[in-house]
This record gives sequence, C-alpha cells and structure tokens, in this order.
Amino acid sequence: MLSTINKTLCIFLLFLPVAFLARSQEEKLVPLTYQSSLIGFGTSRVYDSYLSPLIYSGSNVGILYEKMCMAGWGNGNFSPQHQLFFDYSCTGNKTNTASDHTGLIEYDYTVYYRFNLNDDFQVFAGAQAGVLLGFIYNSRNGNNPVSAKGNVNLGLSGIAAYKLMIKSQPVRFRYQFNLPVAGGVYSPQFGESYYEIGLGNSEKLFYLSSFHNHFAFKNILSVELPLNWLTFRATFANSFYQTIINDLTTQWHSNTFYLGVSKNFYTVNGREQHNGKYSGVFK
Amino acid sequence: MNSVSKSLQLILKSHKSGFLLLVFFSLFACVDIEEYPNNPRGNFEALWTIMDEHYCFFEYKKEWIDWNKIHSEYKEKVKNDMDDEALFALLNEMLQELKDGHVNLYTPFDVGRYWKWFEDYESNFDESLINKYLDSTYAIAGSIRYQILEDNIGYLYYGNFSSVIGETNLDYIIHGMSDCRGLIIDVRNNGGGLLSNVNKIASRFVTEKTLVGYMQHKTGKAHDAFSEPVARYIEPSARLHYQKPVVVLTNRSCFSATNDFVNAMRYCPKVTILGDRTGGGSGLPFSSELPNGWSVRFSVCPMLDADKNHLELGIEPCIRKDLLPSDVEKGKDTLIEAAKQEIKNWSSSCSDRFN
Repeated sequence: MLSTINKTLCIFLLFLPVAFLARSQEEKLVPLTYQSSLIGFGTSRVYDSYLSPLIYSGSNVGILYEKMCMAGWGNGNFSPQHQLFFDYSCTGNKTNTASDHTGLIEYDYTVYYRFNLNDDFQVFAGAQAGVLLGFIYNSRNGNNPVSAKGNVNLGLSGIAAYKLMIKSQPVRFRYQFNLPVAGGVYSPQFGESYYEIGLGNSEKLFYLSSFHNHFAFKNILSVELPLNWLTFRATFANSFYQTIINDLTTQWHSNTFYLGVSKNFYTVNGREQHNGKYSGVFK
Repeated sequence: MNSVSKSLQLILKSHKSGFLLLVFFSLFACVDIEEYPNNPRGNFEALWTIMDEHYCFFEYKKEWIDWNKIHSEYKEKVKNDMDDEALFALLNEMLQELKDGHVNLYTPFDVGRYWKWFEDYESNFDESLINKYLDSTYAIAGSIRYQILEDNIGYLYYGNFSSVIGETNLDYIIHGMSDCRGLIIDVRNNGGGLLSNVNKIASRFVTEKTLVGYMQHKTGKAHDAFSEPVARYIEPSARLHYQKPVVVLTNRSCFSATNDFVNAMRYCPKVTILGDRTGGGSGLPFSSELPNGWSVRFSVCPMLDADKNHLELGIEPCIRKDLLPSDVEKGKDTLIEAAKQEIKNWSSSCSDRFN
C-alpha cells in the first residue's frame, strides 16, 4: 500500500513540472531557481605600490558560486542574483626572488530587469551592491608585509543570454559584466604602517570611491550544455581591480577559466509543503 | 514595460552606448604601471625613486642631504655595462649618504649597510665581563638572562628585542627581584627588534598612563608630507610592577626598538639611563625591491620623544659612563659598578632630571 502511494507520488512529482509547464503556456510559467558552482584556474597579475614597485605575475585558483531566481514581485520581470567569488593567486616578481599571495573574496547582489527580446535572446540590466575583502601578502617584506583590501560598492551589471539549439539540445551562451560605480574603499596612508593602525593611530582609513580612485570590472563569458542529470558550465572570467588612493596604487588582473555545473531548482515554501503534494526529507 | 523593452532594443541596435560607456570608463580609469628596466641604470633610478618617495628623514637631515644633487652625482657613475658587484658598491655608497642604520641593500652576495653609528665609537661592552657578573648560576626567563648580584642588586641582560619575552617571564623576573635594592637592565649591544616587546617591558615600570613620544608617517611622496604626530603612551601593566630604583645601561649599539625602549624608560619613575649615547634608528623600516630582485630597507615612520624631538640620532644617557680599560683589567664592568652605586645612593630618576 505504502509503495503504491510512493510510486503515485513519484509519478506525480515527475510529471508535476510538465503539468506546470503545460499550464504555464496558458497561464504562468513555474519559477525555477538557478544555481551554479564552478572551480577555476588561470593567470593573474598583481601590483601594489605599498608592497613593491614591481608587477608580480603568476597563477590563480578561483571558486564561483552563483544563484539566480525570478522575483516573486514585479510580474516576473525582475531577477535577483547572488554571486560569490573567491580567488587566491600566487605570483612572483620577474627575477623570482619574492612572491605575493593574494586572496580576495567578493559577494555581489544584483537585481536585474529582464528583457525578453525574443524566444532565444534575453538581456538583463541590473543594479548591484557588492562587498570585497582581501589581502596581498609579500613574502619578503618586514614591517609592510601585507596590504589589506576592502570595499563596498554600488554598481551596474548587465547580462546578455542566448540560447542556441544544437541537435535539439539547448546550448546557452551568456555574457555578464559587473561594474562598480561608487562606494567606499579602505586604504592606509602612503607610508602608514599596520603597526600604527593596530595602535589606533589612524586618522582616516575609508574613502568614498568612484571611477577617479577605484575602478573594477568583471567580464564573464559562459556556455552551458545540458547533460542527463545536470548542466555542464564552462566560464571565462576576466577581472580587473584597481585603486589609486593616497598615492598608493593597487592593480589586480586575472583571467580565469572555470568549469562546473549548474542546475535549476523548483523551491517549495514551508506552507506549500504541508498541502500533501510533496514528499520532503523532513515531514 | 513593453515600451522599456522596445527602447532597449532600439538602444542596442542603434547606438551601442552601453558598450561605449564601458570602454570610456576603462580608458580613463586604468593606469599604466611604470616599471624601470632591469639594467644598472634602471635599477639605479628605481632605488633613487623608492628612497625619494618613501624615506622619511630627508627633511630632518636636509642640512647634509640633498637627494637631487646625489642623483646627479651618482647618475654619472652608473654604466649599463657594470657588473653586479660594481653596481652594488655604487648603490650602497649612495645609500650610505643617508647615514641611517635602517637603510640596507640586500643582494645574494652582500648586504649594504651603514654601521658607523656604532663602529666609530667605543663599544663600552665586554661580553666576558657580563658572563662574570651573571656567573654560571644565572636564570633565563624567555630570552632575558638574570642574576642577583652582590649588594642585593638585580641584574638582567636583554640582548635582542626580537627574542621572545612573555608576560609570565616578566612576572617571574620581577617577583625574583622583589627583595632587591634595585634593578639593572642591561640593553647594551641590543640592536632592536619588536616594538611590542618595548611596551611589554616598559609597562612594568610605570604607575600611570605615561606619554613617551609620538609617531608619524608619510602621507605622500613629498619629502615634507607627514601626518600629524600621534601620541604614544605606555599603560601600566595589570600584572606585577617594579617600583624600586632601576638603571638602564646603554651603549652606541642600542638601536631601533632598543632606542625606543630607552626613550620610554626615561619617562618612567625611579628609572635612570647610564652609559653611552644610544645609536638611534627611530624610523620604522619598510622594505621594497629593485627590478633585479635586490631588496632595500629604509625608514618610513619617524618616532619622536615626548617633546616631539627626533630620536634618529640617538639618546643621551642621564649619566654618561664609559667602560674603563683599568676596570676591565680588574674584571669589573665600569657601567655595572656605576649602576650599583647609583642604586645604593639613589637620588633622582631621569624624569626628575628632565624637570
């Protein structure tokens, strides 16, 4: 009896999206949540005049997590996106006598307005809020071994997504840019030591930022290929981060190639789960 | 909303202004990084510029340093066919014009340095004499060697501020010396180390929050671009204190953090400084590098005393004493003997003498 109920439920769940999709053609599409996790490798270039007058270059590893859904408001025209970047790079000077270790973690939250230009081509335009924390550690320096990084931003973002059918399989191409416009950025004074900052001897460490002292962007190009159980995603990300404050210049530039998977989920809220239609892990 | 979609389509089709806007911002916001070439001239220019922009004592030493003139003089001597040894000798000679013990040029084959701040003076220190006073029964707490001398006077020797010293070590030392008539802290030949150790030790000798000096940093590339001096205080430790007479022994090799320690101690009650002038070195050093991979160290944050005087060229002791050869022959350390007498006949501390 129990197995019969389970089978019925499974069949029901299996056909539920189809049922929804069928209905959606007449009424409303089922909103799905897109999630993607990627790991990447690439090259990076680091310059921080607080640490060295030389440009360091080397390799980097990165993790990119992305989540995007349809907002429950705005007639389905708005899509919030969460993006979390983690990047670690190990770079050296040209004579290989010193190395920099750079770690950056960045979170961006963007709300996009979606333009469906046709069945295959979409454009998203969004407003973004982001925060970045990081450090550059130089293995050779004594009293100035680290340059800390931190900023909060409001910015712009855009996505162009195109679906191409190849042998009846949808292959999705996507380009995204993130461009911080204004915010606040952390910087020590030109010759200020972190020993002094630790003692509380600091007049000003945070500055209003915009293109005159902080310029950063990300270009993210992705292709997604659906497989049986998940969607394979390959992404190329070109990131640039620059601050020029107190006569101190920082530049960080990376080209990272990511590989990973993405999936679309249908989420059920707690109240819906109790209406007998779904079988969750927790009763 | 459809009208917005149509407008965007029009924008994308006709003007591509979103893309152009991005390109525009990219053009004016990215800066090119100027790197000097890795040849003798490039390395010379890189070193001169690093010092020109960062070194913090040009203004203080302007009576004998004209950095632009030095550039002109040495530029003539740099040839692109110089070998590494010749280039090192020339660059080191240029840096020695600064007369700063914190300025060093590090290469795989030599370290450029200016050590005349102690080499040109009597050392006033004999390690074998110290060992006689410590005897073989001395104790070691952290990196401090200590002993109770005859006449019931405590003696401790701290030879390196980079060496580990913990609060518990200090507790044991102070507790062990609590019945002594006074304490001799010998920091001769201590070339410096961690400023945190300075505060840790000095905090055992103040009874109230004490102003011991100021610190500032460069705010830009100009030689006179400095922040306002910010006060530095020594707060009394919440642990054991020593409140009997203390004599700090100094010589010309007391440098950097040790110079800072001597400065802090002279503002403590019941503390006097005895010996030779300290070596100085009051600029907190930073590091940088040249295109050929050589490292350079230089002063960036000047430290001042409580009256905002520079400490770069050393601190005069309250009681001037030299190590006498006649005492050495007798196996006596003139400074330690004078310190013992000072404690026995205690009259005034350094801070009293200032006032």
